[in-house]
Amino acid sequence: MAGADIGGKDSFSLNLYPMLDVFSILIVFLLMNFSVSGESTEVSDNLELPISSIKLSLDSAATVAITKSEIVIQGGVSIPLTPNSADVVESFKKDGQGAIRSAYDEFKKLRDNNQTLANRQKHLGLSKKENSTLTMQADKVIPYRIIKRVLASAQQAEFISWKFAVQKKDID
Amino acid sequence: MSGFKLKKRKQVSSAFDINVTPMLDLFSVLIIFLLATAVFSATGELRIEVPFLSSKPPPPQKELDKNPEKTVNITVDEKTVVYQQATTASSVVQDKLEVPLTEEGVDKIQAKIYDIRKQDPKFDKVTIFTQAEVKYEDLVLVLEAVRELRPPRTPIPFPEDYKMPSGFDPENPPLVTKVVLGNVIFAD
Repeated sequence: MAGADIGGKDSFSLNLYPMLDVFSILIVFLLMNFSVSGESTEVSDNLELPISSIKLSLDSAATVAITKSEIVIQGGVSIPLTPNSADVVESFKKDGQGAIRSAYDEFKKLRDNNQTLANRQKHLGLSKKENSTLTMQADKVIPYRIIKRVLASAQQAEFISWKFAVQKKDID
Repeated sequence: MSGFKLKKRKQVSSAFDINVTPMLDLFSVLIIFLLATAVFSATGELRIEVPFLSSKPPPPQKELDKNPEKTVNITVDEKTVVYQQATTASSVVQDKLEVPLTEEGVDKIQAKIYDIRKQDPKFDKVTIFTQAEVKYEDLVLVLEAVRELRPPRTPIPFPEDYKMPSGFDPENPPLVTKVVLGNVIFAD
């Protein structure tokens, strides 16, 4: 096994033990860092989360992403943040207040779905807890006036508890 | 003679060689799987609440006057953070601090809240009023200061009868568990 044995039968055999050692170490490292309980969060490519030293890990909840160009609710409905969008013209106003209509409609649908699910679970005796929490993934440069309009839209659909997603500092 | 002995020993050792190639194949597949499923960027969360309009009448003022509780409001604008402390009995500001919107500035505000928690372990609510042009990044800086203790400050345990909201570690409690964004429904 050890190197070339000139004149022998296995003269071209490779010494695979060092490779095996490296692989073993790599597997142990990856297994130790492999999390099966944590939430695998997908963050949009055009979204940069602010960095924070917060220790609490993100738990699962319906997600609202606010990128520089759009508001995406639960990975589906997209509300463009362009000057042509009537809703967003309203939300860009400095003194603008209240909900964004299309966002509210989507939150209401989400809320109704959650309630239906909670009722079914309750009926089956699985869980009585109703999910009224949302996760917000906003780009770090998004001004509060847009965030506020999204929060107000969700608030009117009875979502009052939020989880603001941040990039953990120690992993950066 | 010695050459013969060496040759014989080598033949014996090679007879017990283990074929590691299948193991290597298995390891390769395992490594690819683990690398493909690994999460390299950890995402944290800052919990906040939005006030909910309620038709329930507020508690009578007499009751508030009897057991006044401290209230802390923080106002964030593009450059500064203002801390104001009053009580439920009176809206007269008892303590005020204005700091720049920097790591050092918000640390001073955390020190203020930490002092209140030390005096009153039941204190557990901070309301934040944010101006329209404040960036999400800056808001997170303030929220983090209100929530996450910075060294050398150590966690102050909540009273035993206090019911901590789910998701927080009772052994390592945050500075306050209720952070409310105050100006969501109405304009600034």
